Amino acid sequence: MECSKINLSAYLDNELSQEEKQKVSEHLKNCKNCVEEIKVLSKLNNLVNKQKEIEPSSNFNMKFWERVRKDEDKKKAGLFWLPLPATAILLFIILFQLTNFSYALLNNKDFEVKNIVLQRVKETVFCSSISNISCLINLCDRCIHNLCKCKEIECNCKQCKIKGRHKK
Amino acid sequence: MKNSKLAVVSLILGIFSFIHLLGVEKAVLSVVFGVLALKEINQTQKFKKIAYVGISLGIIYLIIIAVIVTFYSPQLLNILKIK
Repeated sequence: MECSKINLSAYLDNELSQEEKQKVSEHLKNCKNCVEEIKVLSKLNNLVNKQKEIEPSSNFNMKFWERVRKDEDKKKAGLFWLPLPATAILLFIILFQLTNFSYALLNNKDFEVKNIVLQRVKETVFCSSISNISCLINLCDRCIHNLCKCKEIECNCKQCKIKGRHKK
Repeated sequence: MKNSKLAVVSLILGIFSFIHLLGVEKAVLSVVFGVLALKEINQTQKFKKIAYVGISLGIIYLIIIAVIVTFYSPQLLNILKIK
């Protein structure tokens, strides 16, 4: 019988059949290594048996499963902060574009263009907010509708309100 | 404020950001309140769903506004550069 095939722990705990026990006993007569190992195991067994049994508290089970559930919830909730950076990025894009627009508007030296754009902005803000979807689209469309064709030298836009820019 | 209330506030702000004046700040607040509601570990499943919907509405609104502003910005800036 090979040493690796012998379950010494089961032998010590009387968990082997009669036939297996005999085989192990015979092996132990000839194998010094296994004898040493069984001595160590029996010492360990004695030490463990000397320890007092600890009784779990009455609500141990409840506390244990509560902690397991909390740990699982923490793992699941790990991504709940993700919307905040996404919101910050989107807000940055919106503010950047609006600031760009305001800066260009304030630095525009063409008073007619400036006045028309400001008038459109005031009209839109009066009826709603600049950030309301429909009003924002309306504001942009009206600005572009009234002004876009005016940048061309040959402007055929009949609705253009800027004097001197029409092709005559 | 209880976190279940935060979830409901997040949902209401998320909806109102689409239909009321001044949408952007409401959308931002709906996301913030929704996240604060989700922070509570013992939050019930029902209020978690409400918070998720509030956060989603806020982010969808912000995405729409960001897309509109980005789409129109070059044209408007081009117009304002007329000399």
